[in-house]
Amino acid sequence: MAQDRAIAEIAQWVTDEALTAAPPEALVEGLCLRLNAAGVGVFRANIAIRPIHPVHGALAFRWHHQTGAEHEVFSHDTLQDAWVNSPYHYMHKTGTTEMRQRLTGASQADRFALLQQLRDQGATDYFAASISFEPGTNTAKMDPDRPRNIIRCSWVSNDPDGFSDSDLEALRQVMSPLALALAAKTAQRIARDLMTIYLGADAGDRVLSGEIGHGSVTEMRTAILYLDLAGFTKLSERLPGEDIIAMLNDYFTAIVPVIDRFGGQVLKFMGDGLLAIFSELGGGASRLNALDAVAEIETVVENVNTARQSAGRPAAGFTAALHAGQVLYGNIGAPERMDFTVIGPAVNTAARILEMCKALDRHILVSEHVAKPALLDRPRLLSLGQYGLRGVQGRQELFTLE
Amino acid sequence: MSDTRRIERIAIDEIIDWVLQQGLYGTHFEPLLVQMCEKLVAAGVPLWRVNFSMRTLHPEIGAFAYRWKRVGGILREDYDRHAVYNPDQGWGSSPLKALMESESFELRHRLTPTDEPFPFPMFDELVEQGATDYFATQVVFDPGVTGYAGTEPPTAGMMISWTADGPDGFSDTDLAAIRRLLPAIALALKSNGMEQMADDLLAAYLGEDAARRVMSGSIARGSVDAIEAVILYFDLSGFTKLSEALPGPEIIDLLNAYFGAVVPLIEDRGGNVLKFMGDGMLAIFARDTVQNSEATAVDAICAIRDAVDAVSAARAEERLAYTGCTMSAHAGKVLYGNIGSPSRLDFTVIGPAVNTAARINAMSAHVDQPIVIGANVARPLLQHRSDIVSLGQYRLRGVSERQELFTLD
Repeated sequence: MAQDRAIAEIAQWVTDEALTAAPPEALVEGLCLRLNAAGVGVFRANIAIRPIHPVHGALAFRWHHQTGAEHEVFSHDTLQDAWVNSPYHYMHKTGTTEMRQRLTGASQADRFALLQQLRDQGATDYFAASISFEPGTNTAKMDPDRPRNIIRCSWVSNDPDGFSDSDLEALRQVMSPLALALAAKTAQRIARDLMTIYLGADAGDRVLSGEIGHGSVTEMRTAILYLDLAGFTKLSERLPGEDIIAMLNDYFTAIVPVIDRFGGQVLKFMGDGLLAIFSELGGGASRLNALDAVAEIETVVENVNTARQSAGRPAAGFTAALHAGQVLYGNIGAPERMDFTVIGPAVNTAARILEMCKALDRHILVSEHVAKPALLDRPRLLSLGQYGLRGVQGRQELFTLE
Repeated sequence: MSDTRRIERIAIDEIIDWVLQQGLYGTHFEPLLVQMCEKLVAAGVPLWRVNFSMRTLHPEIGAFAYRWKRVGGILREDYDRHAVYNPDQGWGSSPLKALMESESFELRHRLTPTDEPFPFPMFDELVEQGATDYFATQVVFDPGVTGYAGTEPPTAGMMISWTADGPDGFSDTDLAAIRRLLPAIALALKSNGMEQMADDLLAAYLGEDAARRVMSGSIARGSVDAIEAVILYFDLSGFTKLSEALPGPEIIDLLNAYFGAVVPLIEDRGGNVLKFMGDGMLAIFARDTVQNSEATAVDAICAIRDAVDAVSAARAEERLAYTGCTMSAHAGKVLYGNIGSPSRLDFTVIGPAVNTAARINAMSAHVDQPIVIGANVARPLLQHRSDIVSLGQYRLRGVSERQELFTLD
């Protein structure tokens, strides 16, 4: 039959398209347009996937006859609300892989708000199906809160007669290549996201570009920021673990974007502290940016403290040391286990400066390499005098922000 | 269409569907490729040998290849990242190189002997073994993710060479069938490959255990496990001085030499290297995964001490800079998991035991011992090891109770 041939070609097209750089929503749009051209009237399509991702709870790719393609990203939190009342959730709970609901006919109290909305838009038929990536998995046994390898698709018709049986067959036929295509595309996106999340944007890019041979390092000038949240040791003795983690994440969530905004990148978190660099790779003025970042971090931490205290929760202080110099930046460790990090005397000096915060009773210390060039433009800088630092040759003039 | 061609088309359609299904299921490359080749043979395609190769982003493996033979099964070969395009290994005159450098996606050559020499020496070998046709194909993946920043040709994707035996070689229908199958194979492998790549990279940069947790999905930000573990710190001595005295590349070389020797000694014993911090390394031996974690940790310390000595001796002989190390061990409850901001996370350990471990580590200079072991690691072992010696009781900054510290003779 002509439609059979057309559907087979569409399935082939999906497979071809999967290998291109086209984003998933473009794939979904192309598919819907082709289905319509082949006589399968699709008015709206929604494809949802719950990938393994520390931040994304789910990704949804949609196409609507009038508004075109779109995609939505759900965080783990926002997903909960959307998920619980959805037909997908119902399917999951009842262990069904398909759900068909005609939307015409009088006074049917829709159990799903979504279906009522669709009906109001003129939809006449709703068909949803799930495709599992694991053979023989009993979906009813799966923990609904864990991501799992299932793609869920829903298709909506606004044809007066809804979907015919051959329409449903056609949809079933394209879902397999579609699922694999989206799995491949999201897998790619996820690999990139995971690298960015765990290595930082720059290191992540270098890794994905193939520049990851063990021992590949770059020499560069950079500003180095060591930051420690204060008071955690004591707190961790009396607060339960989850509270400590939540508290750390509260502060890091406020601090990291500031570092990003001023062109820096976080290299690692070490317990309640972090190490960040502001390199000249981003184009000049990195030391001044780093200084401004520290000033902004001070404000931001104060805000977090105020918010936490008014909610009756404990607050934390911080100490920060800012230095600049030549470093080696790159891959260090063993061939099978490495880290992106910075190495060099300047890094050691920065660590020593951080240790001086307690002795000088200041929570921000800036080395002369950062402060001196900025004295005219940043009046808050105040010299604290010259100091000998353990293991560092010569004296260092240290500054603070008043 | 004649009957035979219609049958072949249906058979190929079924194989395509099957490949897509396997892609979804994440079926491992090897069984996927073996069964696919067998199905093709059953459908009438005269395959004698098929080679699949794909580039990777694994830190050490540059590319891997699967070689299937109708008689003889399948073999996997990994190519070292630095050797993959080695002309000495026949790459220079290989048809795959020609294909990669050409604009085309295919290279086809019948293998019937003629008066003219074959364009590639390899074809002579194939003919000797009974091959009659050669068809190489490549599928290029999105260069954005797997492109290579170096000077090597970047073709990111896969190359498959199909070799036939039998008097007629490949028919046009055979070639058409293979062409139709390619996107499905590519997609299945790409999907698989992406996950494999993420796996490999995460294992390299987070450690096997952390990577496994991430890939199993238990990694929402803030997800931590309370575990009991022995915490091990390792530092190279005198590093600050060294890093001022040595040029950059030599420092890296020194670090990698020592870390390269030490990491396996920890990981082979079930420990996790959590991070490298300059010249130092933090590792844990989790009690729920490592039997007798205290004994294992001390065992590792001994092995590391010997290994560092060996590396230093070898380096001294080559007139390279060398140094010693300090180590410390402490056991306790820690929180192990994901900490950070939504866009930037790290696997780390937190908790009073970590602070205590750091303080014990810092005592090394004070007690003038390269190895310092906390009481709750040392005491359980006193009966079994005569080389554990008490250093006395100490007050550690920020730790409420006095700590008895030990060392290894």
